[in-house]
Amino acid sequence: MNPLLALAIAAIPSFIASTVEFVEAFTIVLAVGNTRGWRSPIWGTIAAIASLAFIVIVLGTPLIVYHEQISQYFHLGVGVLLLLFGMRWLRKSILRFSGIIALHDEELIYQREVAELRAQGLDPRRWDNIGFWFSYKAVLLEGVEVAFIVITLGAQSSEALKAASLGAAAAFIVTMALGALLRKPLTIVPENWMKFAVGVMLTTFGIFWGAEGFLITWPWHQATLLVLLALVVATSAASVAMLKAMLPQGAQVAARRI
Amino acid sequence: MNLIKVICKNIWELLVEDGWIAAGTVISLAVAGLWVVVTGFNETLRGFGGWLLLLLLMLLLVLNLYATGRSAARKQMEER
Repeated sequence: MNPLLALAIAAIPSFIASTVEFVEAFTIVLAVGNTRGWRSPIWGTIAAIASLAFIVIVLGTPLIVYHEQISQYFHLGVGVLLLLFGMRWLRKSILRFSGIIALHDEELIYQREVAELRAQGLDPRRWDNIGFWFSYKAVLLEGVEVAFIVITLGAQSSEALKAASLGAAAAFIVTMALGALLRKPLTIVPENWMKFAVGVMLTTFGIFWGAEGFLITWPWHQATLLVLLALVVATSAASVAMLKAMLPQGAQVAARRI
Repeated sequence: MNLIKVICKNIWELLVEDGWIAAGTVISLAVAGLWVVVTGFNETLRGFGGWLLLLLLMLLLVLNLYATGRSAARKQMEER
């Protein structure tokens, strides 16, 4: 695979999606550290990273080793996963931008976590189990999502896997550096736009690879991705306009099911 | 055990949040697959399968959002 193409279809989406997940994990670890001290969240984070490494090695290695033998089914499988994942993110982003559900707000999430952690009480002489498990779960769950993104985006070839892994690693470094510098929830990261971009990219790649899995040839080969991307963006923009016309003041139904 | 359950639930929710979208996505792929089988060895016709998949998915997205918008508008009216 051409290095520029690997960058465009694996590294950039992986970087954007992973940044969103790392920012979410960082908010929770920060809330634990600031309310209950830093010892337990640091250990919770280390334990989660070790668990994550184990999961990635166990699940990721067979995918890399047997990739060539199951190439066509693999394309189809990756297409299905990308579409399920991408359509979900895209739908939610459109609902956010049209005001039907509330925009994702890291500061609000941080305040909610702090209130919940304070309500649990703390004995400073004892090992803080609550702080440990809060951080462990947050880092592991967001990390599993990152691993899933990297494996799916990198599944096309070893170059793509390298590019997707580098994208995620860069996202981790950038998020940690920003977090260490600012020491507050990373509200400066435009998460809502990033989630929209990831939704659009994953849906586009899902359509492309899903069709290739059925041995369908696209007219302009990989350049068709640009056409698909433009059509998905146009449909999304039209959908936002449609919802805004239906509910001019928005519904702001937050977490309620609609 | 509880943690494994939470991880599995998280992965499930990562893929399936709205049943309509998830089921519709799988059906759209199945239709594209069926198109390939029906058109057989005709390269030109088979090539339309990808565009058919795009059309079905975008239609699914717009219809789902329209239904969601109507449902939200109805709830808003009931609350007033």
